[in-house]
Amino acid sequence: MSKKTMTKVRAYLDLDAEEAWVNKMAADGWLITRGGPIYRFAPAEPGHHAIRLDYRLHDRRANREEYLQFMADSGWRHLAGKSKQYFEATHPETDSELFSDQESRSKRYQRMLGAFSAILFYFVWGTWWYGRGTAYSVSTLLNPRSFFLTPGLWQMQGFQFQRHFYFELPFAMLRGLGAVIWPIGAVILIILIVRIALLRRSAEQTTIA
Amino acid sequence: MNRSKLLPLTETVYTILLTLTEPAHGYAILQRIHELSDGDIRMAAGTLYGALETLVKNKLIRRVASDDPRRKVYVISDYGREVLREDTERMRRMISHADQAL
Repeated sequence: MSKKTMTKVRAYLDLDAEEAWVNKMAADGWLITRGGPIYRFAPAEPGHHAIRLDYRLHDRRANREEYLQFMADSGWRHLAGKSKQYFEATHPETDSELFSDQESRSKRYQRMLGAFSAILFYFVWGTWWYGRGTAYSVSTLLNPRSFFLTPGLWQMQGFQFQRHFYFELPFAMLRGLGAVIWPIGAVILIILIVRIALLRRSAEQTTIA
Repeated sequence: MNRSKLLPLTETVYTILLTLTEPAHGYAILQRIHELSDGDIRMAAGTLYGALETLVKNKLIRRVASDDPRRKVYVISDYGREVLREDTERMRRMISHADQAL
């Protein structure tokens, strides 16, 4: 193997699909060392690995350490992850599932929804906070001139205009970006949350089957 | 807290409560469940971890002090004992009905 590590960029919401991919990488001799969306892999013995995913955020360091200790005691080596957790079974020949019922499997999506909703709340708050004055509204966003604050800029001519215009352009862009990033972020998060909710529903429905 | 809402207990909850009549930490619970059921019940680590969190939240079990800060020790609460007894009674009645019927 020539390279020491490999980096791959992927975006997964579906834990089963991601699990399958990570296990395929391991079978090809690349063991995950950092979770997505910018994954890192290190060379490992090619062949069968049993890697399983959990989703869990810990509010305190002590709780996280206790969780990892319990998993280690139970035969799961933590490979990577701070919220999405990647574990490898140390004895893959025996019991190599992280969850023994469908309910606890689908509860991972429940926790994911909770985490994403908290971020959404932050973006909704930001949308409100930046929009509460006249910082932006639909009309200001359609009128990029309003992001330039140099007095009398639009009455200037020739070189004087260019000098002031290009000087302020980066600041105006930041101002515009700062305003639109909140509603755009909120919309993206809503889309992700809906997709996670659908994944959770299909994970729950597997129980009946 | 509405007790009847918790009854009947799921097999997972019933078994965990039964093993926690004596204090134990996570992995010890898994081993006890295995022994108690003669290997019939195989509870996975992630499932147990989530169940313990829920049981603490429902006050059916509680944490007790342990020498090892990295291994939390749990024990059944008085309330949990009550619920376990009640569910056992419920099942006993069912079994006696079944014995007569069969």
